[in-house]
Amino acid sequence: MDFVQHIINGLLQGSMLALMALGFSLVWGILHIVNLSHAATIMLAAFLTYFLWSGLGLDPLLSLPITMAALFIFGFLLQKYVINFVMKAPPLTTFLLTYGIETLLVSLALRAWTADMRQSKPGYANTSLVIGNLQLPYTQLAGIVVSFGLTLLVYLYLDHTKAGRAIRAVAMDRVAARLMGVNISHIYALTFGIGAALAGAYGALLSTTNAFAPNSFSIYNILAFSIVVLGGLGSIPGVLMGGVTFGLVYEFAGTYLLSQRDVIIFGILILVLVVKPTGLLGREGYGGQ
Amino acid sequence: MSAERTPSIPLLQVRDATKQYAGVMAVQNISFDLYPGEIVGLIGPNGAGKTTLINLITGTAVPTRGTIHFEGMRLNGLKPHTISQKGIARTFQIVRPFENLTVLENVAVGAMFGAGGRKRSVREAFCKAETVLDFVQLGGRQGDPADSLTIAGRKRLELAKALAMEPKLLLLDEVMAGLHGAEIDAATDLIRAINQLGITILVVEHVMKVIMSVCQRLNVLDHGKKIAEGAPQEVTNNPAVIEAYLGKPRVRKVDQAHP
Amino acid sequence: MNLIIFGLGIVLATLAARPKINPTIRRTAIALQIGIFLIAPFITNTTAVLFDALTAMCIAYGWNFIGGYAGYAAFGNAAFLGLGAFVAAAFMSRQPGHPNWPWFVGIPLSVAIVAAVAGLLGLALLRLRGQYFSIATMGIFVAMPEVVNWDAFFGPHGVIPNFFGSGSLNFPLVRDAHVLGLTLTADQHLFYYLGLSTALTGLGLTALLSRSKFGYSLVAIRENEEAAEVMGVNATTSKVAAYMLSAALAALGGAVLGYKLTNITTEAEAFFSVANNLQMIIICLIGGIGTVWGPWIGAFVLFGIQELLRTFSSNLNFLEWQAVVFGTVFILVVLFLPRGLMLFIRSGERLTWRSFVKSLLKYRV
Repeated sequence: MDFVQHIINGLLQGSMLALMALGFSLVWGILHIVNLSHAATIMLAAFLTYFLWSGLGLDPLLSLPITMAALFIFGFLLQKYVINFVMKAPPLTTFLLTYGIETLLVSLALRAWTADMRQSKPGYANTSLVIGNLQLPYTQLAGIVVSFGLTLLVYLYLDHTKAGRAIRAVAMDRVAARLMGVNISHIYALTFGIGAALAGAYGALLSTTNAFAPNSFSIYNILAFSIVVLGGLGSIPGVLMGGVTFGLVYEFAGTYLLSQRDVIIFGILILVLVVKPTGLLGREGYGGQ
Repeated sequence: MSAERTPSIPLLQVRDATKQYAGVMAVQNISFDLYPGEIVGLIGPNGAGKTTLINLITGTAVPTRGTIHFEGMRLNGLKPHTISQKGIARTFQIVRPFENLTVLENVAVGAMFGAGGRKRSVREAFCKAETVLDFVQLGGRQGDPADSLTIAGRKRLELAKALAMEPKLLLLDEVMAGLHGAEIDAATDLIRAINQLGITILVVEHVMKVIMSVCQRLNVLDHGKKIAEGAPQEVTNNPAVIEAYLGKPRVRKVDQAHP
Repeated sequence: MNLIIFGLGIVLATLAARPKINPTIRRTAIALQIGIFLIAPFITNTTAVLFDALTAMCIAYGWNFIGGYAGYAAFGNAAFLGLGAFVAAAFMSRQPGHPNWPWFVGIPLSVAIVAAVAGLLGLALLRLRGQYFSIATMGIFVAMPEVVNWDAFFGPHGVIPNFFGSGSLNFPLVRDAHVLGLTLTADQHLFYYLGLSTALTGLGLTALLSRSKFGYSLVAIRENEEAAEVMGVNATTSKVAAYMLSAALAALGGAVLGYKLTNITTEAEAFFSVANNLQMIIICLIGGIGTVWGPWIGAFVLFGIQELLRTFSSNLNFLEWQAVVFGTVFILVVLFLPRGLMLFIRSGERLTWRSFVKSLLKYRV
């Protein structure tokens, strides 16, 4: 395949990966939780989209808002009634809890839906926009549009709405925010819900571009972590950069070194953590924006 | 104030120590000596670089420029654990003991790994720890979990942990912070008692009464630079020092009008 | 019968673990336990579950060093479990191209090699703290199966050609032995005793090292690494050693597990599985991290629960639900029992519903 085609693929995948990591980055930056149930959230969204498509004939792009809303509620409730109990605990405890939630959800999914591979295939699924000798699959084009759109929305939300600013205040100084009347547990649940909704959006898109089964998603936790570490915690542009970088790595590794792809991702992660842990554009937390 | 007249070889020699963090000069060109048996103070307003200087000596931070010598050995670039085994111990400003261990175990760790620890077995380390705890008057609490101590108790524990290492040089970083009245007096006596054992002490402190009564010499830092050195009386009357703490004369006149 | 053995194991260990207990009682309790486990194959009709529990315990003891004592929660030790199995098989296999060394050469050799690998990785990874370290070790876990399958190194034309077999790798089959009129089968006896010795190795090492300078250095690192360093603890050496120990015990358990399973290429997923990762951590959590008896008690509680469920729900296909049970138990333990059972054993505090609720609400916002 053409080198340029590889680059294009990498960029397309990469911007979607940025969307994938965005929710993870928000939760990490604001709740200071590395949420290992992130991958499970993506999984749930992928299945929901698939079932809406296969059962009700709903186009994945049309059902996107539904999926996002559903996952928002899921995330909100999960934080409020489960994760809330460990908010002040040492990081390991939260880590373990979200790990447990992830395992539980994936194993339940395997019981309920078996390990068969699925994929949503709306009419435009295998078609592409052709420019010259470059192929741009419509599903991925849709992905990049959604991705940028949502990222922009999040950016504006955090900057220009009252709730968004409350979220940033909590990230900066929980005690001060509380003293100024912000309902902390509400903000936490809200942010977690938003993170889940964004993960949900990615899951919905993913269900069209890839075949998946409940156990296909474990790489996304590490990938999200790597993207945020590379781009820098607390920076939305950083997430974009990280996502695109890994998208390109994924594409090129997938072609030339397929079976070692995960090793490469791990390698990059270690390199970044050891050499420049604050990432390319990082500042601690989202408060500093 | 014990004033052994010092031999001419300094125990600690700091020359032009500089530490730069991403555009901020935490300390700049600091030089001073410490002679065996002294108690020397290090004072200055908040943010002057006192803790950074201590970190440079213990090896927690590496000097950007300048050298630090201890007993003639160059410390630059050595790891903290190596430096501490040469005979340097420190206490921390914000005291955080090993909370899930008992008081005795906390001190025993110092006895196991400090300068005197090489040849010591675990059992011997615990014996040493008991002795040290008695010295700081925490002997009765040795079986208690460390997190059950009050602030004053924790400070004693911090001192005990450092003493168990059998240091030649002890760096005290704001030991008095959080202590009141009688506790401060008791801590001051303890510092003197430690010095009587022959241990050289560098005291970083804000409580002036302690500094004046315990230190033979003072070094003053401000904004990372050393601005004065000398006997306590001279230094506290030094205009530059007064200005560093209280600000320029014009401002001070207002303070004087409203004591 | 297995349940009874588990129960006895838990009770006797609890006795032995009580801090103020009469030393004679303690020694008797320990001796009794060891006695029971030695005669187990002759009093129960299958030692398979005991074997699983004991090897899991060995692996958990390993994790206990790095995650419990040192406070660095490694999330990828299943990688060393699997690697241990594969390397041991590579040395022990009777297939062409393999040296067919006996188990007392192959297994220790594998343990040493895996420990060395962990040491190298540890030097890089242990610079990281907290969650960063945990996720980085997760990365090892994800990457390891690929390393084992890496053609450039281990393929037919690799650096060490066909080290892990070309296509399929087996441990040699073990025959039954006839001694003194008794038939000692491989499954019921040999593997069981191998498993028991791995568990005892873990227990012994932990008991020995926890009271040594090394043990105290780890705990000091966990409690306050910066203070430990200025007190003279060489944190890097201690941490890496703890990590290597954890990998060694994981490899030991994995190698013995693999030996029993025999064909490991098809079982590869069973080794490099998330369930294994979780299992070693749950066991330590239930029992109490950073303690000598914690993993022992924890393993028996966990496997005891599974055995109970198995006995009372014979119609459910248990294996499929195992991961669900694990996940649930995990979440419950993290929420309600984060310090493990040893907290109650040591302090004499009563284990009531109230204490569970207290744990739950302790860290709530």
